[in-house]
Amino acid sequence: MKYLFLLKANIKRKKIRTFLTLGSYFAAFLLFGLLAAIQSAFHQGVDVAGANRLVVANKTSLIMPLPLSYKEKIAQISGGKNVTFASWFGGYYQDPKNFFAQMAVDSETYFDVYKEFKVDKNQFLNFLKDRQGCVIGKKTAEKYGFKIGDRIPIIASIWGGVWEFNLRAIYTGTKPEDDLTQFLFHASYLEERRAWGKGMVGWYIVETKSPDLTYSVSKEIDRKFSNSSYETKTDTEKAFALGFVKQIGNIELIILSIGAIVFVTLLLVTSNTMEISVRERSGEIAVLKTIGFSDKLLYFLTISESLFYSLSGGLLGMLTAKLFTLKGDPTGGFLPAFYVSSNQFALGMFLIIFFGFLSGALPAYRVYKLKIVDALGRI
Amino acid sequence: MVNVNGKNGARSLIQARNLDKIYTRGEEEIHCLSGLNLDVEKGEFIAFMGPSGSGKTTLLNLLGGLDKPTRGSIVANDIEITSLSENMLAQWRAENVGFVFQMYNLLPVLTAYQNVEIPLLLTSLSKKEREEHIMAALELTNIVDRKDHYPSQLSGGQQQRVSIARAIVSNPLFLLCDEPTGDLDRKSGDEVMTLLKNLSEQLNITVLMVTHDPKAAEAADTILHLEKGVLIEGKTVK
Amino acid sequence: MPVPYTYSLNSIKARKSSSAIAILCIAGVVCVFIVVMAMANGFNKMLKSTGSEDNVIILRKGSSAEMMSIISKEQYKAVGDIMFIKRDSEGNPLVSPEVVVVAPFFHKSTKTNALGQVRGVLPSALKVHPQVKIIKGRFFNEGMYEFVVGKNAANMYEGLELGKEINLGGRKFKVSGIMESGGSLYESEIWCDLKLLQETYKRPLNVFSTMFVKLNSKNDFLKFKEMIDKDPRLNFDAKTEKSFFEEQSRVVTTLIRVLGFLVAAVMAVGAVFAAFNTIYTSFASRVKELATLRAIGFSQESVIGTILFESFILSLSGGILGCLISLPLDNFSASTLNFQSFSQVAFSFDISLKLLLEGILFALVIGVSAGFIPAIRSTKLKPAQALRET
Repeated sequence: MKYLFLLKANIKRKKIRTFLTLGSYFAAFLLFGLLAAIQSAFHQGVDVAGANRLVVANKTSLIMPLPLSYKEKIAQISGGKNVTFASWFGGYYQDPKNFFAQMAVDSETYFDVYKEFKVDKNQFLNFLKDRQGCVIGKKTAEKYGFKIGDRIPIIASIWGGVWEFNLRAIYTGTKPEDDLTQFLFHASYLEERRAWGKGMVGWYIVETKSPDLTYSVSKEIDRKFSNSSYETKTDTEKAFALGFVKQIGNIELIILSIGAIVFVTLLLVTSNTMEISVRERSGEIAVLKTIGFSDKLLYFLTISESLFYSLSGGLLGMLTAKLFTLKGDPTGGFLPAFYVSSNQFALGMFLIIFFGFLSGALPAYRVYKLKIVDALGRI
Repeated sequence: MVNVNGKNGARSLIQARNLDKIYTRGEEEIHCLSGLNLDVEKGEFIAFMGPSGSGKTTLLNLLGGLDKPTRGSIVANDIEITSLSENMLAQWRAENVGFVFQMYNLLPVLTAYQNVEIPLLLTSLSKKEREEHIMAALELTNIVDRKDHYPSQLSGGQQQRVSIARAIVSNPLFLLCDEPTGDLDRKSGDEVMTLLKNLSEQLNITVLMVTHDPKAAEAADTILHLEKGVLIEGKTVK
Repeated sequence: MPVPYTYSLNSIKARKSSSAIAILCIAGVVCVFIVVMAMANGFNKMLKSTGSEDNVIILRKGSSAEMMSIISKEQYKAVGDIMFIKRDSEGNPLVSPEVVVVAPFFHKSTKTNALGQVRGVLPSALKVHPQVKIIKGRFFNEGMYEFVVGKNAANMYEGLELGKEINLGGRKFKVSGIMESGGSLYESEIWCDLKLLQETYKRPLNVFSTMFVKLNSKNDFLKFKEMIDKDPRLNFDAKTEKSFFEEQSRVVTTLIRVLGFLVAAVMAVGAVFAAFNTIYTSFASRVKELATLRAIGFSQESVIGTILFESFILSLSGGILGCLISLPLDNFSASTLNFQSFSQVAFSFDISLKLLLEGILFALVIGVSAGFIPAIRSTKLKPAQALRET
């Protein structure tokens, strides 16, 4: 601790350079945080996938429907516990830019399958009683200021017209990555009001009795409906979500790899700066060695300086990224899970320390090896 | 007494025996010191003089444990420093040698006080004890009033005082001064020499100084001339 | 007297590692700049070129994607009779009935099956879609199991090269041509004979998915739409091709715009920091040397000139290197999901000469302005003072 003033003096020595170095670390780790959030956003479905949940979709494409009559048939398959279904509604509130997912769901069973969504019991009973009732995730309710009892008009881009719903319940999640943006209402209401497509639903979600049964149950479902006019494709929720991530394509890869190039460039630069700054100081280091500072102590001091830059700049960057993500999804609804997870934060911290060491290592080695006579000596 | 024939049987503070220092530059060998002997006793103030390239600084580097001789040995206070490892040498320097340089070599980013504190960081003294030592050293060198100034805010003479305070703060066995007046005007140079002389006389500190300024050398008890890598005894003031 | 320019060149050569890092760093900056801009340009080009305003797509009401829509032959005929539709020299209305399905193809970069959109059209469809051009091979022949593959689809999926055969619904289709349509969504599609597609997918021959019509003028659209809305037989939505495709790619557009911008902005800041840091640091540590130049007798202006010249050379080399690194990415195809039809859309990176020059200019601006601070600073120091500094 008594060496602290030496460290402080060195940091204050060239203010512009210190600022640029801190700025480089700041930018690098702000970028890291944002990339982490983008990655979480794309992989959200994978992270929240229930281990024993299956998604049954039309074999041709997710957007093609399945008959309502499948519910009973799926329920008969042994190994399944709960079956529910959902249909995409595809509307918007006031402006097409206000995006959140609206789904007509089998209201009696939906929350049995999605156990991570918590709804107040009384609110839920009110929802069941109201034909036009709806349940909204906490994030969406907060974003648009919806209160229980509000009448919410949704403009239906697929079905036409304005549909009005009564907000009866607000659900919350159990994990930070749970999607709290959904707008759920009775499938029976959709069925009653839509002009065509009756008797069809979007997809089924099946909860099996145990995760071990997912494979056999999914095979059994697809077998049951093969050669019908609506063949199914059943996947675990995780595989389904992963498939989705892959479909999103190499955009994610491109963003991540560009980010990685910048990240590495920045660290190369900080290392170089450290190196130059040490070279500049070689006379002083020689004086310290003359006075009796050991090679090891000076090595340690150099590394500490490098760690100071990486920690203060990097941490600030990570925190800024975190703050930014707390403000919510920048796309206005398309990425419900735009956040830096605690794992990613920990990885960031590790990288900060790692690169602090790394960019200090070479200059510190130079300090370690510096010969007094070479730096000071005139023969 | 100072002795340069290598035959002093008594145990002196510093004993250098048969020092050779050979540098190779390309294929050429440069004999910087050849068979140099030196005995110094406690409390002596010695000035080494000689033309450029006579090996003054090399000798000082060897005595300060900054460099090792090609052949020969140096024993200081019963420790043969020529056989110590680099790490042990660093520790030995911290405990035993105070350095004063021609260009003062203060750290520009530290105040006078902080510069003097540096050698004490290597001791186990508490912050309070360090402060006592620093203030004592600054008082001895008469620079207390400038303790919070940075080197760039001090004159050359003042900087050299701070550097002397830094050299004596850890109470070393001896001081090594490399052209301490070389970069100063006459008046400041005289003041610095008076300071060194007083320190030597009042505190009985051993001082070894390289200079080519005859006026500065007059402050020393003994002047030794370095010629072609060996020492020749000059006049003795005392 | 100016400092000889050879001094700067020698100085760059003498400080190999520091110069190399500065050049590499600037190259990285320029490369990132070009790639991000190329992606944005390519994406915008796709959006802009997809769909002309005098083309109208007709879908069954409520269909958010073409494959969900159903149009019967009678309805198709009824639409053909509506006024405002452009006619060819023989007096036939320019209408194109189309069947749209999705089929799994093996996606090269994600190494998985992805859904690609397959469109069955009549050979006369090119009259309605004049922006579609065959760049390799030829259009399919009526009644032949042949594919015309969009340029991006050919890049994106395995086995869609010219002359190759590929399985679709149990039939072998041969790739007879590769098409281009100015970067539009059609370049991600695969086209084939309408009837054969209906047969392959066991669809009734008198049902289509959607139809496209070409209007006499884009000003007629509202009147045309009114006619459609009024007709009780037609439960249809009419949209200009342009607005339909904009709707289709709204999610992707938002994702790419917002995320791309966000990441690019932070990266640009980071890159500027990096480049600035390197150049600044390399000069700031040479105050003494620059002071020596002054002491020798060179004027302030010429010393500043030397520094700026040297950073100019460094950033120019970095800029050129960055361009060279990014150049192979020209036409690199990026693909993502069309969230409306859940099929793949692709667009190509578009690196133009203008963009390359902008990249170099960007490098020069960063490099030279980074050299400016130490240049000014070196002149503020008196030579004697600077020489004293270690």
